[in-house]
Amino acid sequence: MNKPAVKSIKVKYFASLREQAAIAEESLSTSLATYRELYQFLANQYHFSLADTLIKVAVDDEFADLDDAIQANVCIVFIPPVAGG
Amino acid sequence: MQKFFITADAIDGTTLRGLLENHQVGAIAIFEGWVRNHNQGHPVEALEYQVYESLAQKEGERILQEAMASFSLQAAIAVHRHGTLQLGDTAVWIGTSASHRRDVFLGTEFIINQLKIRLPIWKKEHYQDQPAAWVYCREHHHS
Repeated sequence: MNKPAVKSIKVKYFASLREQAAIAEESLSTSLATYRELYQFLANQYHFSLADTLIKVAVDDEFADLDDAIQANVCIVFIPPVAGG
Repeated sequence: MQKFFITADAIDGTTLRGLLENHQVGAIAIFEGWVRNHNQGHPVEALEYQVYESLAQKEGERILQEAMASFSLQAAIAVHRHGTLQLGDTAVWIGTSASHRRDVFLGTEFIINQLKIRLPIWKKEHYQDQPAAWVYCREHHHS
């Protein structure tokens, strides 16, 4: 069985996620399959208080689905619940 | 005509309103969302908006396009602040124009409702009586 491919990605953080991660962005290498798995991995690492059920994701400045497969060389933003207006 | 802006500067409603005025227009509606001094019983001192600007710009333009297509609007303009805002500051400004009042009322309400649900903008409230907190409406996030 083939090993999962390792992909290089960038992750940017906003709002409560930025405060809890204590960084605005980082570059990572990952072999995780989906954006949801990546969020869960990061939530465990940084003790994010928001469950993945409250999070949306944008990939290269467009909304995507958390269960989409992670693409290589993309910029990922996990979007906590919004509060414009 | 449609224009969507995100700015750290104070919103100049007079200048924006001027963009809506012409002799084909029979109705103009303007909505201003202000920073108020309380939320859910807690006195608020200031607000901090953080924005994911590249996506918010695209999404804001899409919302105005949808409003223009859904209502008979001649123009739709929306501006959202980011950064630190004080009490009484305008956080969001929306103006629409059309031949008739029904379209500007409905179009303006559509725009503010969609901006609140869809723009990747976050609000941190600074209180007098407890630590600052990022706030949001849970029921809006997945609608």
